[in-house]
Amino acid sequence: MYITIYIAYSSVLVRFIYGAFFKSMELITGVDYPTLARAIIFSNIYVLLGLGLNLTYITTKIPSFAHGDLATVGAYVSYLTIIFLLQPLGLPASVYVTFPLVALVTGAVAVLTYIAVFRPMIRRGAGVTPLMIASFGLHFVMFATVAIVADYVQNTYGVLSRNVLLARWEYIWPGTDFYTSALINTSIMVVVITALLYLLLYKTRYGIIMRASIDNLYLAKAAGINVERVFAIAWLLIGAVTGIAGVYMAMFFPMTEELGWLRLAVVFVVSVVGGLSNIYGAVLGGYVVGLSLVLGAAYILTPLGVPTEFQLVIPFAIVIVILLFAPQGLAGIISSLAQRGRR
Amino acid sequence: MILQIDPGLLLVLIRETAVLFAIYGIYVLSLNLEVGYLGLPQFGKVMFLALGGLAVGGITTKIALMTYAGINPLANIDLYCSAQQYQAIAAVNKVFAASPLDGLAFFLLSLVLAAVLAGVFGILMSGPALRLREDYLGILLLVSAETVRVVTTYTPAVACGVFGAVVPDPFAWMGDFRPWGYLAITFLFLLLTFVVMERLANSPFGRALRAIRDAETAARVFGKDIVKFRIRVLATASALAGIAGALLVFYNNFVNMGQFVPLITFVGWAMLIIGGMGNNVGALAGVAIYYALDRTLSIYKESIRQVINVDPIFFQYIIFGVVIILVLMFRPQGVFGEKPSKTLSRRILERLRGEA
Repeated sequence: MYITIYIAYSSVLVRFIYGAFFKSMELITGVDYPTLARAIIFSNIYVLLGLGLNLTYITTKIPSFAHGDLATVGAYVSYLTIIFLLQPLGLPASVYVTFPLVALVTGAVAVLTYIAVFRPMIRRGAGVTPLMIASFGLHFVMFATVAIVADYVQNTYGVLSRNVLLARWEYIWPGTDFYTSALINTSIMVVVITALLYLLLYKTRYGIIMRASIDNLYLAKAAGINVERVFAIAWLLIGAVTGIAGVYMAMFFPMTEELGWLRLAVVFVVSVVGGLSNIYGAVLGGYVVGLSLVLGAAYILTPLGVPTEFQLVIPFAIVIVILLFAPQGLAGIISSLAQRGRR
Repeated sequence: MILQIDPGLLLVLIRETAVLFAIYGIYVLSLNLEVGYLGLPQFGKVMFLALGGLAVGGITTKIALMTYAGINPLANIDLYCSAQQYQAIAAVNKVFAASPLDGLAFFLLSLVLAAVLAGVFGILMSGPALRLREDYLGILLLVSAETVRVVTTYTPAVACGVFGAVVPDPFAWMGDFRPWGYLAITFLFLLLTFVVMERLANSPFGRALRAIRDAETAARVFGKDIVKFRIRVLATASALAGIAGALLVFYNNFVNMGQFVPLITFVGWAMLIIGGMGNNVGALAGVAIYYALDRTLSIYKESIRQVINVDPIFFQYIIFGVVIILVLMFRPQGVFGEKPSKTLSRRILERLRGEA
């Protein structure tokens, strides 16, 4: 009873706050609400994907080509759990019920890739290019495995396994539509995940160990830290965050085995724009890319009569400029400016 | 489980595979020059293949249409792409069927333009290639290739955008022998590329490249101009990839710029890694191994389907993925490792010394 009142109250409050916020944004910027909502949703998704990629970069020194496939795995785990576990058991079919399993399975897959491929190669002293190519081989394996599972499920159980949208199972806040709810939920997710990462990295013993391993690998090893185990746990985080991002991706892009792979170039851009070696660079990069992509398509390309398919060129142009003039990314620029200011 | 295949069909299968082998052979040899000899993380290789295709489908096709059929496709590009393409190209083909000289002129012009366009882009890419670190450079090349693909695919004026452009057949005069004739032509180009690459690799130029790859500072100390070497390598390799792209388009007589996805870059890498980097024979062996596996699996496609009801193409991906990882882990030099470069034989060297 109280709970329903509470939910109704909070949803009205949420709606009011969001309504007021976006009404004012609309007035100030002249951007209409649906476009702005989409821009922020995509930014949030790209932030989550970029966080994982930056952690990958920090632990293995490469941007992994198999990163998109972790997102694909997450989306499929969520979908198959809903179809084969939640619906037959009559449990509430919501993607949020599947999140623990998604995080666990994708995390396990990520740790497996680290232990089976990256760790042995790094131990053998493999360079950056061989590691990147190995991550590409990993993409082949993961992408094809997902495709085989999808084929098998479709042919054996007659369950539609491609071009599905997970949007049907998104939690809808009472009194709002799908876009508003997705906006609220993805924003909450970004806040919660970045806050948890912050707490983990800055307020726990593990975080201190991990930052030490990232900062100075050899010193950390000399101090008796098992760096490889620390990084294996980091990969669990990578998998969990990316898997959850994949579920959100599958709400807006049709789910196929190429779900993550097709958008990987954009995720690379997110990480490079923010700065690959800074975890929170991804937050910055995600918003720069997501906002420029959607708002650029709506307010620059469409009025000029350029087809919206060209929107991908916007982040690509941004990253080419950044790579040519400031390869350390925006986070790098900001931190070097801050240092100069302190002096 | 031996499949009964009609010998005539098998011959066609082998012929078509051989054409693709030759085209991808040129592509992977040029990749080998950049990756194997110079150590460049060339993750945007498909861009140069695309530019070769663009030169044919987007530029010389229009020239041919204006010269031989009197049609200007740019006058109404949408109408041309959606309705008039096939008739217009058929008119051009009729001219080529009657006059081999015109056909060959068109073919050579296309190849030269493809090589120049791709080569110029290669030189453009050498700017960042000199400044950026390995991982950033890889991303930049990848993203540049994607930019080229997106821009060319969604601009109808380039090569009819998403419709794809039909390309005239410069060998229409060969009639029924066209497939065999084209096989001979592609192999001629493959042979040429191979000879050039072998000469290059075993020349002082090739040795300097390896020196730059293995010890950049030392090479610089010995007076090797790194900038010049990188620009030359990128220009040569890109021009060759452009030719491969043009040959690919003439093989299909059709080009859709959307076909040049990053996957093709990595398929090239997979071939090179399996065969062996820094070895031209290895690069070709990698292409051969790839196509041998690819065709064998496609012949047994239906048999595999009866065992487990999924598309067998995905098993092929898994096999290649695992092979790439295993090769990188346990045999980083590939099937054929890098060999010391060939110098003059001892007999000739002694004779030269005696003369001196």
